[in-house]
Amino acid sequence: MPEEKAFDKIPLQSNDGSIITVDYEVAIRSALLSTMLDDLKSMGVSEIGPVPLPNVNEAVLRKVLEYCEYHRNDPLTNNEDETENRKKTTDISEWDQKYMQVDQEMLFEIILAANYMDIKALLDVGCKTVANMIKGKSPEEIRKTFNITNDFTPEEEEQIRRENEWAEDR
Amino acid sequence: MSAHGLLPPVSRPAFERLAVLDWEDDYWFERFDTTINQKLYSTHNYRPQPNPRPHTGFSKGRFGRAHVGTNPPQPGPESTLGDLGTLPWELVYCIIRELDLRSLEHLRTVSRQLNAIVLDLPEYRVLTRHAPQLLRSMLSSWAGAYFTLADIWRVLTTQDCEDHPMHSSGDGEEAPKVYRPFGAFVYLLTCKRVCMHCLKHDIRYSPLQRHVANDIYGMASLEPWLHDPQGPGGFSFCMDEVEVDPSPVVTLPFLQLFGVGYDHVPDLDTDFDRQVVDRPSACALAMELHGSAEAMWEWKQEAARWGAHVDELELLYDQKESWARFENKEGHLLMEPVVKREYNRNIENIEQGLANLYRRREQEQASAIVPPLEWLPWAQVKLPRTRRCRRRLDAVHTPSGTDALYKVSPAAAAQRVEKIMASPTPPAPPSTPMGVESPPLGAGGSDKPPQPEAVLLETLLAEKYSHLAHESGWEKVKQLYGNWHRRSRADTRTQFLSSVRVPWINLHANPSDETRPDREPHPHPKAWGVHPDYNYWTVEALEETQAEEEEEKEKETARQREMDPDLERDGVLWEDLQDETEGDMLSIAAGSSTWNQDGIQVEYGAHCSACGLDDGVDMDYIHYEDRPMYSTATYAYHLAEHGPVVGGVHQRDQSTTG
Repeated sequence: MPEEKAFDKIPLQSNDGSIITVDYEVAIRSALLSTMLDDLKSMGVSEIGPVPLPNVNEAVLRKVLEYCEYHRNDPLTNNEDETENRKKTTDISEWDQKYMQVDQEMLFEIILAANYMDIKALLDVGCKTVANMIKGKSPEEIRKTFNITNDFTPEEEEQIRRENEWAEDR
Repeated sequence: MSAHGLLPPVSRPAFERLAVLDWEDDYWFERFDTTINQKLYSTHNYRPQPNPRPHTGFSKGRFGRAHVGTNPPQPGPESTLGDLGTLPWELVYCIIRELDLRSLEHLRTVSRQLNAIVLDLPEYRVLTRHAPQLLRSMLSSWAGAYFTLADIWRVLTTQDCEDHPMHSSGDGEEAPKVYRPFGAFVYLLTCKRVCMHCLKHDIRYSPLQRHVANDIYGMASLEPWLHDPQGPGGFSFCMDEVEVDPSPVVTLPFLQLFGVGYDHVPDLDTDFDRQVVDRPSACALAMELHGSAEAMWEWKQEAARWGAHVDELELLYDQKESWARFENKEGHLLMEPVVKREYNRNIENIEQGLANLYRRREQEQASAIVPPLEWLPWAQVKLPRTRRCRRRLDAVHTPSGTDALYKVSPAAAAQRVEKIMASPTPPAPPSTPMGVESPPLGAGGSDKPPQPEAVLLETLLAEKYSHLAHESGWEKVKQLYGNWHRRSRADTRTQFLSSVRVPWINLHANPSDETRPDREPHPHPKAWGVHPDYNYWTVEALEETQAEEEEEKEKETARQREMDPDLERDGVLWEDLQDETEGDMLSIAAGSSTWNQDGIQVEYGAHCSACGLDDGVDMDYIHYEDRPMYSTATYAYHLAEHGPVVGGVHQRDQSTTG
């Protein structure tokens, strides 16, 4: 039985004060908002003011809501289904790939926001995107991509190199 | 908490089967939080890093401790995660768990902290501990680039053959699963468990070389297909290195075959012959490219008109998603190297995996389902001490050297020796294939029983090889086992000394088994490993040992010369006498010597004109170039019976005659 809508429009307030109003279906993509709205509904609240999202700034919030808007009709999965689905789906849809074509800082912000707002699908896509940035790269390229400094001592480096030699011996 | 750190406290049988860990359970993340800092900072010598992100209690997200925004996380001064340090640990773990095995290995070499994180993955630790051979096989054949730890974990924590045909109820509907056999092998191209039967008879497990896949599915004939390596299903990791094959089949996961020849240096740019792809994947890709199965069928008709070899396609078209039809399909030429490589150049030994087993089963025509670890007890030969043997080992590139490799294990041999010795009458030596009864050794020696040692050796050999011998004869056996070591004359010695078997991917291994070879070092500093049943020696260790022995022998000789002046006066020490005697024998026989299957030096081509020895104790199965070979024991017996031979006549006979 389809659940009755608690609210039509949900205003969301980012940490820099701007307010973005979204549809209920869009908002409940976020488990954080969904739970909160359910609670409010059960408390008999009929009107809702701006929901503060103190950990998300406006740009990131708009980006996240863009994702929620596009996926507003996707079936919401409960925890058990979600676990299974995550294991089976290894690739990223075309739209999601384009969506994730942002600079690295924004990408991490999106991941953090998805984690905070508890949008599992977005979090998965973000993690996979970062993983794809690592795949196929040499260690030096990975360092360059993520600004990682090499803090191995020469001895440690030699040891790891030897371990890898053993593993990749042909 | 178990002894393995992060493993949950599960019951012992479940643990031994490596029960699937539920990674999505909060259980893990709770324990990560409490243990990861301890693990990272204590085990890997990192200084504690205070968490700059206070817990606000605000998040009810999936990972309760991730925070964003007002208190933006900054990497600490000791952090070497770079930009990844802006993410909380849990998310870093989420990302790392999406990585394939090869990327994980690369990530380990990026920084200490990433290395520590990867090493601390429970799956990684368990797999490197209990399935290192599988990981190594995957990494070295590029399969590691396609599968995550979770995939490998899944395949190792199940036990059934994944694609074994279901039992059908006969009414066309699929019956409920009755049973699936134990999947003893891991098919690296798809990371699936398979049984021997499927490997041998299921065409899905018969991979295709890339160009063959191109040909039989007509992919090369299509318009160039612009693949997007970064796209879904694309395999971007290898594109920069192998992007020389313009055909679409390059987008399929492939496996690089190695170890086909000992001296082969793998080269990704030129070794396209050795790159194989999964057959069903290639077929599916081709159907996608052609548009439909019907279009592919049309292409096939067209190609057949031009004489193309497209029988495979016909089969694939007809079966229409049902692979059961290909039961009993033969011709898996590429199966063996895909399943397991044979030669490990690094540790210089032969991993006689499926290949050997497969050949042996072919010989025996036995049933198909075979556990992979059904090894004959191969063992390293215990080398004789004399210098002559070592010289011969250096000089002779001989199949009997190969024979010497395939000995019974010392333990098994000892058991058989006890058994034979305990029996009241020694068993007779095997009769020759020509049916010639063993005549007495030497004239008038018929009343003497054969030497126990000779009988014993022959019995052992007969037992060892009987299951093969009665099928195809010893020549076939020699050819089978000899091929392994005939590759290169120069490397013979090294291979001879270092070639011992190691277990295949040991799916049967008990994780708690503390008797694995890598657990306890060999007492000899230069030996690289030890096993309760087998002695592994390096060349250096052998030479050093022999040098020590020779030194001791010289000291002993000097001591004997001092203590026993008679010996000195006679001028003939036992060792010299032995050398001299054998010299006589050799000069008479005009043959040379080598090693028999027991690793004992034997003479071949020897013929005693006095008593016609070669007619008597001919052991047919060790014929080499039509020259009979005799065991040392046999010769010793001959010597004791007749004495040395001078001028073609036995000395004893001379004296008797004279």
